[in-house]
Amino acid sequence: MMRQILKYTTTVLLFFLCAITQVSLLPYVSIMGVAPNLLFVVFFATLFFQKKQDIVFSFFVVTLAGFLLDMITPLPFGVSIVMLLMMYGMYRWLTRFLREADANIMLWYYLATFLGLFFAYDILLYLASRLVGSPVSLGASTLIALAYSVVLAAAVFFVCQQLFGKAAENNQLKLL
Amino acid sequence: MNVYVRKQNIFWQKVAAGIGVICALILFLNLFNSQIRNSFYVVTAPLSNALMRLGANGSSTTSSLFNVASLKNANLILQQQNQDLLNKVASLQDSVKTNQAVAAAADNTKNDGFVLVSTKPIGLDLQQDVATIDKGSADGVAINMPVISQEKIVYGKVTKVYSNFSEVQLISAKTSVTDVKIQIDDPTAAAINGAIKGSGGLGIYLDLVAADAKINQNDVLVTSGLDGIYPRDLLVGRIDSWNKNDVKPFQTAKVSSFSDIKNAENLFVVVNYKRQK
Repeated sequence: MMRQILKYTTTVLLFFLCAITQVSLLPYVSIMGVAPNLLFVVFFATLFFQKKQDIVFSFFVVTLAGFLLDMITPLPFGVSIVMLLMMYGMYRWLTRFLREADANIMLWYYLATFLGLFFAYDILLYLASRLVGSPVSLGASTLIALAYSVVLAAAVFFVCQQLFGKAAENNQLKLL
Repeated sequence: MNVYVRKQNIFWQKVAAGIGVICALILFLNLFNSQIRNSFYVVTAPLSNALMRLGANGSSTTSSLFNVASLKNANLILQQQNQDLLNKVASLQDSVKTNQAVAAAADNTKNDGFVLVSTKPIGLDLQQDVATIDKGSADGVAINMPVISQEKIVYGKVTKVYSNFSEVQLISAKTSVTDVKIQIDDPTAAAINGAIKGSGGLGIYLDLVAADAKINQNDVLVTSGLDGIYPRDLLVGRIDSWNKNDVKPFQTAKVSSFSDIKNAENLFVVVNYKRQK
């Protein structure tokens, strides 16, 4: 019980810190006016490094990350939550075809899945933002954001591997 | 088989319950939108503000990595200026700096009769070019009020207001259009009007300038006041290069914006200028 409380509290604090960093510190390390999406990177890493697929915790992370993404953008509440819910569905669908893992391919599998989901997220965000009349860019800036976020995702991967490495290696998924 | 079906049922029940909870939560969040956002900003403002200052201090180092060519020249000038500034900064408290900014802004706008509310940026969304400032309806801020710096540089307009915080759409936002004119020394010359449009990522460009208008490099752009949002003669930017095409009815130009939201410590909301929705 205490472990669960600690897990949820740590997750809330981590995501809050990421949200604040994203709107305060990351704009200063932007490349060509584009900053990485730290919240999405951490959201993906949290799903990826779960020891087992805990659906309640996954829904909690989806809601928390979506809420914070909506909070730091002018979009109405719910847009990011729904999009991250769709990303989670896609993630689950992708991992249906995967089994226990080999640590050597884990990084490539992680980055490929991240790229796919981030690209899908950007397209959905573009469509959603047009619907609510506050359009975001889709074009070269998207590609820069993608590249920048992938670098950040790789860094987060190595940090997570150091933190949860042994456990994750034994429980991760791999291609059939 | 029965066990498998039961497990599947439990899984889908959990999914349905989760989606139901999320829908209820979204409804709740939208019902109390203003209060929730305001509370979030109240809680996060101190940390956000500290991180922005940290980012502003470190940004000169980071940006220099990407501008190696101009580094030498800039460095010579900046070194001298920086030493002076560092001495000043070290000796001044934050409140003193704010007071100085207020005094400078009051001095610069004394002929305009602006009533200014001093504010600090505490967040920046680069994806949509929206900044968050630490003043809201409790301080007299309302939608469509212009936001300027102490040097009368235009930053944007207020688009959302909460009790203690507001969101400012920067002039670089893709949906932003600001009526401007080229500042001309000769009072007898006809005004050259155009529109500053946002290109995202803190970039702006000049559009809708008549094809026969004469544009020069380094021409200074100021607001014309025609849009009813911004007072006239606020500084906007400087023309870098222009694109004249005989086929097109208007000229466009690349513009370097005077506004620098990343390094702006104090901004001012003009609360007594006429507003138009």
